[in-house]
Amino acid sequence: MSFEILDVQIMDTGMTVGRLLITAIIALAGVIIARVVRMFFKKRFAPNMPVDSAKSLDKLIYYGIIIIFILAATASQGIDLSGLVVAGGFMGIVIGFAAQSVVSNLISGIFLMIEKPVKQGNQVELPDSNVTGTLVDINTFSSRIQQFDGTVVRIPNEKVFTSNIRTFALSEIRRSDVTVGIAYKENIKKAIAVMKEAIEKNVTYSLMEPGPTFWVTELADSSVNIWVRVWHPRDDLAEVMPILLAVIKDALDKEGIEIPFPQRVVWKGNSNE
Amino acid sequence: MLDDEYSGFGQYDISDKLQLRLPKTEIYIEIKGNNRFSYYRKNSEDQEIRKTIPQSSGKIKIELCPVLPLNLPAKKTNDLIFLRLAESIFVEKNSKADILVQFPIEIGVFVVNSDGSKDFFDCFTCEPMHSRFALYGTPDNGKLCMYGKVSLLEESARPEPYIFAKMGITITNELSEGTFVGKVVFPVTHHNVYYLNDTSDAHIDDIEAFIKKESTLKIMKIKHAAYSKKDSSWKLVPRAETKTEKRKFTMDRGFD
Repeated sequence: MSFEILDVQIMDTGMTVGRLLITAIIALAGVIIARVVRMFFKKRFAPNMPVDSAKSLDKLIYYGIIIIFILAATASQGIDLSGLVVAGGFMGIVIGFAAQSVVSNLISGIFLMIEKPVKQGNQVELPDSNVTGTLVDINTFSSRIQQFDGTVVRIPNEKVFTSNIRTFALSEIRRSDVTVGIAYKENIKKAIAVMKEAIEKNVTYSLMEPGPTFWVTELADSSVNIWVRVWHPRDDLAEVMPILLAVIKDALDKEGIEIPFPQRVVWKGNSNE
Repeated sequence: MLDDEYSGFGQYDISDKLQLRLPKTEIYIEIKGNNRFSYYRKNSEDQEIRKTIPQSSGKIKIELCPVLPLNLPAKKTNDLIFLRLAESIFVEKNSKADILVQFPIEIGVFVVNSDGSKDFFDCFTCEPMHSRFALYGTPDNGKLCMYGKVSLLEESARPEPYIFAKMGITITNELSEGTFVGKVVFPVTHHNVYYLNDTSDAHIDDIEAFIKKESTLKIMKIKHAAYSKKDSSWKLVPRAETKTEKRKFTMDRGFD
C-alpha cells in the first residue's frame, strides 16, 4: 500500500514519516496563519501606530505565531526536543566561537530594540561611519539607513550599537547654521536687520519663535563674518538649507550691502628696476 | 459687507464658469467638455495650481470659507496654535479681562456633493507671512505650533479680511499679583469656525484662560468655549481636518 510509507520509522528514533509530515503541515499552517495575521495587522492597525512600534510588533506577531505552531506541532506528535536542547547547548558553544560577530550583531540588535536610542523613521547620523539618513529598519543582524540620495546603507547592529549616534529625534525642531561675510565698511546692524527680514519673509519653514539669530563671529581677512542660525521643523532641512544662503544674498544685494571675496593684487615686477 | 471687488464666503453654483477674486489670489473654475470642470488658482507670486473635477451632471457647487490655519505651509503640528500678541496684556490680580483678538485663517474650497456632504478640495492663504511655525517651550522639549502674530481688536472693529477671523479670550487672573500675558497657546482642532454669507467676516470659537500657580510655577490653563454670541446668520464651516477630542491645555512654559 502506498500509505505504508507513512509508518516507516526514521533511524530508530520512534518518529515515523507520517508524524513528521503532520508536524511539517502544522508548521506550514502556522507560517500561513502568521502571514495572514501579519497582513491584517499591517492593514488595520499598523497605520495608526508609531512606525517603530508597528514594525517591532509586526515581527513579534509573525515569529510568535510560527514558534507557537512549531511547539504545538512537535508536542502533538510526541517529538521530544530535549535532545535538541542538549545538542543545541553544545552546538551553541561551537557556533559561538565560530560566529562571534554574528552573535554580537544579534545581541546588539536586541539591545537596540530594547534601549531604543533611535527609532525607525528617525533621521540619524553615525559620524564614525560617515552615514546620515533615515533609519529604515533594525533587523536581526543589521540596520538599514536610507541616505538622502536614496541609497540604503546596511550597517551591522554591533557597529550601530557601539557607535556615537547623532539624532534629532528628541526635539521637534532643529537648527541650521550658515556663515555670511559682509564688507568692513558696511553697517552690521543694518545687514542683520536686512537678513532677518528676508529670512522671516522668504524662508517659510524658519520658526518665528525662536527666530533667526545672528552672531558676529570673526573679523576675518576680507570680511566681517556673521553666523546665521535658523530653527526649523526637524524633518525640513531640505526646505531651508537650499534657499537660505540664496535668500540672504539676494536681500543683501538688493540693499547694496557688499559681500566681499578674497582678492589678491599681483604686482608685475619691472626687470629694469 | 464685502470688500471692494473681492468674492465673499459662501456657496457658488457653477454651470459654465466662475471667477473668484481674493487678496493676492484669483480662482477660475470653468467647464471643459461635457463632464469635467477645470480649477485654476493663481497667487501673487505667480504660483499656479490646476486641478480637475469630473462631474457628469454638468454643474457643480463649491463652498468658499475660512478654515483653521493648520494646513500651510505644511501639516506639521497636531493641533497647537501659538498666538503672539502684538502688545502684552496686563491682567490685574484677582480680576478678569475680556479681549477680542485677530485669529489667522486659511481659505478653504469645498466641493458640495449632490447629497449635501462636502469634500475638502483646496486650501490657500491670502497672506503667506501668516503661515508660519513657532516652538512653545525650549528646543529640547518644546511643542511645534502654527504661529500667528495678532493684534487686539475693538468690539466694533473688523479684522483684516480673508486673513484673520475674530476670537474672544477671557483671561482670569487667580493670582494675588498682576501679570503680563504676551502669548496664548492652545489646541485648536475642535474649534468651530463660522462665517457670514457673502462677506469676509469670520469668527472662531472662543477660549477661556485661567492664570494660576502650581507650586512655584505660574501657569495658564486654556479651555475651549463655544462662540456664544453668534446668531442664526453665522454659518458653520465644514471641517477640513480631523476633529480631536476636546481637551484643556496648560501653558506651563511661560506666557509672557
